[in-house]
Amino acid sequence: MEKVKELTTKLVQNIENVIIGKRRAIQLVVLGLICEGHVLIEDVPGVGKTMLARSLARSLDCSFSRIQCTPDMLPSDITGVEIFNQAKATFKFLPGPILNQIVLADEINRATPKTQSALLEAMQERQVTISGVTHPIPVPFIVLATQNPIEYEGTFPLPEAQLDRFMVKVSIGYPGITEEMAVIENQQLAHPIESIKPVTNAKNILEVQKIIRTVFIAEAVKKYIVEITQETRAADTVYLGASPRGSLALARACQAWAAMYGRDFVIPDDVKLLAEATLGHRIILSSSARLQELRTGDLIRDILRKVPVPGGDFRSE
Amino acid sequence: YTLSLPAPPADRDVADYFLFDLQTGYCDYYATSMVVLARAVGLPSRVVVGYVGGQYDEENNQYLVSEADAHTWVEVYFNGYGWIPFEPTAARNLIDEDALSLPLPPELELPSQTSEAVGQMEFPGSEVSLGVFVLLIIGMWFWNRIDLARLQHMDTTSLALEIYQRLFKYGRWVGLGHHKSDTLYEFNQRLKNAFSSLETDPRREKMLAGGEIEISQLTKYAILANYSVRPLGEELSGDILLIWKRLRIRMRYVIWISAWKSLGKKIFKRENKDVQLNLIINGAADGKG
Repeated sequence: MEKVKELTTKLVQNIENVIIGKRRAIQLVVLGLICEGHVLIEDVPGVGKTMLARSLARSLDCSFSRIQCTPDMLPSDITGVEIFNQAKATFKFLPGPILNQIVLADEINRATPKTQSALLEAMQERQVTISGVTHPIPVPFIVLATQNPIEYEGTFPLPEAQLDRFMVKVSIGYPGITEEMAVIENQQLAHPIESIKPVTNAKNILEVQKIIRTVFIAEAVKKYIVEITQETRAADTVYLGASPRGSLALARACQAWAAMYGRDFVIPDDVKLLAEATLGHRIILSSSARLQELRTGDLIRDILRKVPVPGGDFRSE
Repeated sequence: YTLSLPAPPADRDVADYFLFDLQTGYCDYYATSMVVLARAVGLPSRVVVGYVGGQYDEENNQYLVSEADAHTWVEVYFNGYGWIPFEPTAARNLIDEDALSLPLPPELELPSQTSEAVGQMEFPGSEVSLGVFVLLIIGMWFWNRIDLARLQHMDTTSLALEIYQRLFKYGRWVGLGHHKSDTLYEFNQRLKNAFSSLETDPRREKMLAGGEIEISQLTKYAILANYSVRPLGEELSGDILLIWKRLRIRMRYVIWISAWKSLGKKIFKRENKDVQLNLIINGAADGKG
């Protein structure tokens, strides 16, 4: 576990040179990477989403591509096309941007449902099939999809069933005063991203991905995770709660988080910390709840207050 | 006091006439008025008519009592003491205590709770209570030894949990009860906050310093015991017991302070600038390793 802690700490610190003052967001993105999951970043424009993805790719020495989604995008713009080479009379496959390790899909809610599903399918399968030929996507593979929380006209919001495929939802947010001043200062002469160096490579990441699966989860803690997920289904302000995919995601995320702190077992504090990030976007609130301006964050906080924390033989009040 | 009086008017109450109009008279008047007044305030009382004093005739070894010795006085009943005589008539001597030792007729007998009984009740079995106290001390010492032996024989994992359970109990006594949705680290943080906010003066600081570290250590052991896959090493049980011994003293001190402060609040009814021991839950887990 020490190896995981060392590697992730170096990674986070490296990225922090570019994105200032957003440690938690960076940690969650790294968490998504080592859990072999994908990350949904929901944020206002201009807070550094693209920079985050690019600095991640640079720190890992991995290939990076950016997909700017527009309503007139076609699935082949993502996956790639086969072009007929008249001279050789053969089809040549031109790989699309998805065939990279770090993929930033900007404004995924602007793409048409058909294109969205192409992207999501590639995320799921980790391979692309064109004309019967399967092209695997190189590992470690992570898609960072971004969404604007402000509804513009002409968007196709991702249905919740598709949102379920994202492991964590991250929100970067605006920086504080000192941080924003530091941003201006850092970018005065040159952009810091030009100067950051890789701190690790793909092979190490793959190893880390295997290691985190060995983190121990006590029976009581597993029960705690499942109880929380089940509560999201039972609450009366909820139209649709988190699925078993949600509990699995939460469990895996807790394992990764524990490893990132050098621990080889999960504690309930990890669960409490990651519950909102992993389960928040999988829940659909009922219309009455939305009318009351309730948010999923409030719901999860209430659930965490309600569900008893397991602790061996602890008799609590 | 006078013996030469006109008879009271027939349509007037005697006591009323005596107290407000005559304002002078002899023993009947005084006694009657006192009884009326005593009964008016709720004291059971009665008029006693008899002979007081007399001349002692040495030749015949007897008292010579004449009509001039006739007298009226008052007796008032007090619970536990019986009928106590009172002398309301001015110009009369106060009651001679020795006269009471003459044998009274049965219906005037005082109830059994006399001064002898009262004397006994003042020190109820002082030797018994001392004995009980000593037994208590010995009993507590024995219980302590047995408890310690039991703790030392536990395996370290259960020991860590048992000790932490006791820490919860102490925490409850200072109002930092463990809520079911708190994790151990959250409880840990609240307890530490309580400690640090109590260290207001050097004397307290001396007592409480090091307590925060001890709490953190015990929490760490409890977390390892609870959620880790490996059992705790046996060599740690000595450490755990030692830490708990020290921390227990500090916790008792904290309970003492908090009890004192709540007492002070009740007496002086002012806002204490010291900590409110019921604290806000602090989100402690930044993934403490």
